Amino acid sequence: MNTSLPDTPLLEVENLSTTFMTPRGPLTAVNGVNLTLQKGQTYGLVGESGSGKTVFSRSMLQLNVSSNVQTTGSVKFQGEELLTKTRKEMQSIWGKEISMVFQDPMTSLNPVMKVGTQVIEHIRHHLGLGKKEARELGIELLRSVQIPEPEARMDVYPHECSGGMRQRICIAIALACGSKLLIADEPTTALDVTVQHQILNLLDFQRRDRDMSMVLVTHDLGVIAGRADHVAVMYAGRLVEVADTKTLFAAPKMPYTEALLRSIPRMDQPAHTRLLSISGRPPDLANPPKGCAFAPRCAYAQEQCENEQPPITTHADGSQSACWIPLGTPASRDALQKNLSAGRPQTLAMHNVASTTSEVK
Amino acid sequence: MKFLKNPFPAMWRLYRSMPLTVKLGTIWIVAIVFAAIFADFLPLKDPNYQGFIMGESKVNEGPSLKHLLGTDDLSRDLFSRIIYGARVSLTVSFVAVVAGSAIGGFLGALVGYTRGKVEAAVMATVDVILAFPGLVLLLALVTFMQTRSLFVISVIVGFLSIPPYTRVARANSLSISRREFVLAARAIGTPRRTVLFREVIPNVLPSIMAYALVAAAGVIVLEGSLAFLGLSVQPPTPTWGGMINQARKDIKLTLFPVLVPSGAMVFTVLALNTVGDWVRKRGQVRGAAL
Repeated sequence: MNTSLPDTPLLEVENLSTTFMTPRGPLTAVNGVNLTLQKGQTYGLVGESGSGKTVFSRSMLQLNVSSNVQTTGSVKFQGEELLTKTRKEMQSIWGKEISMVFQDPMTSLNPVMKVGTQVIEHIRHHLGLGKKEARELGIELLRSVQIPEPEARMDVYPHECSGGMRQRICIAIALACGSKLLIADEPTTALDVTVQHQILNLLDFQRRDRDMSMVLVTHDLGVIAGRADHVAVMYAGRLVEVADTKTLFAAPKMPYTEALLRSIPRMDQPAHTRLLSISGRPPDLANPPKGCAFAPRCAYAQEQCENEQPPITTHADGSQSACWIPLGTPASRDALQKNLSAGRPQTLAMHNVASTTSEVK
Repeated sequence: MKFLKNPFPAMWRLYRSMPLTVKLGTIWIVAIVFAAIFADFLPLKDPNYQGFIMGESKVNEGPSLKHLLGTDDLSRDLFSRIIYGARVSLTVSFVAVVAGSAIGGFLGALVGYTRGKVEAAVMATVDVILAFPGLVLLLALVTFMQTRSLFVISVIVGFLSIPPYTRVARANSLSISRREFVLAARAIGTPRRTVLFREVIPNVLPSIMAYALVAAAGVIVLEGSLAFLGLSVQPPTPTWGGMINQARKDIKLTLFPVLVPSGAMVFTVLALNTVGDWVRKRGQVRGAAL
């Protein structure tokens, strides 16, 4: 991807797997994920609900809540291994080196504590500032995330703020200690579209301003477009496609990515066009399929797909994907034709692909 | 802060916002607590003075100006006995609430947050204590005691009221600990102890408070039953339950000496329940808004 020789990457995730021990047996929510993030870049992580995005972002920081969880692999942050660190050691990394913005601003602030106190608290903890200095820094932070009247906002409770404002406050908290990496776990899911736009711009601006790197986790490809340098698509706990953003949008290699792109409602379609969706459901992770996890829903799937797990392969344009029949090859066209004439049971997916292939290809 | 600077208008506004029954309940609680605390300074008759010795009053007298609520079978003034008796009931219930919410509440919040083996051990112990019928366990412990002073009774009842608070606190702590703001607090590097005291406990507190008011009423009844069986604080100290028991002998002659302590107990329990319910509902509305 990057032709210039990079020095130590900021974040290097190797073969990260997270397994939950459930009564139904082990459930691998994240399966052998590799990811490299250079300094100053934004990495987009896309996938549908339950694909393991959140578990992945929490696993990197040892933030998984439940006790019956096993994380294996390696997460190197500035060359330092994070997974072997104790909770005590992690405390100086959480919030100071790596911080996180969570999905739902409605629940990620303590309802019984004033906003100002929550912003200040860990500034004092990490930077050892006095009360007054910390308060001034807190007001500065609130101002920098574009909260009007930051002085007054320091003394209100979270329920007195709107959703967008709360998310801004969360971002302010995350930015407070000058961390080098910001993990934004679906930061805009709970917000409406205009506020989403503002928050994303804010995150992007702050990232540039503070020279941070960001992992942007989302289920919305529209959020990623134009904001991430690289995109990883996650399905059933695995990365199925990794590419730089332009390549991914222009020439997806994995049928799942194509299907995701196709299911974004488009402005140029006539009104009341039926929204395209991916038929079926993601596989049960406690009982994963033998072959490619997407095969049962894939319009291109062949026998090999259902029996063998495809390895990650690198393509000519630098993108990587895990698919036996990468899109854009003659093989994939043949596979689709074969499936169409055989009338595989994935009627909706088939229909979608069939009706749009002619114009796309 | 505002409340501390200028308490009276704030209290008045709070009072104005109460429904009628809650107002009455609040008045009753305030009055009886005030009377019990300052009983020694109020113009009350000696609760143990037997008027018939000097021929001043008869036994089982009805209400009059001299004896506002009449006299008991030893011609002691019932009004002042009710107020002195309130001391026992209220002290025991106060100690039970404080011990329960402080020890039980903290324990519950702690194990609900930390989980693991400690939680299993604590909850198993709590469940064992709860499995006994409360009164039976109480009787067993009380009969075991040599002295039955107010202190001993309070400690025993206080100890027995810890388990339910632990359960309430743990249940709330479990759900609070799963909330995202606790995770967020961890993600910014807050030490675990700080998370417990700053994030979990303040959020568990409202439900413990609401439970405490209702549980206080239960403790008053419990102490009453104990006193009725003659196992609470010993005579001559007046207790409500003891007064009911004593008046029971003459129930065929006069009902009044039974009604007075029973009424005091009923009104106190009712008042605590009404006010407790009201507080809980207010809390729920606030909780839903958060």
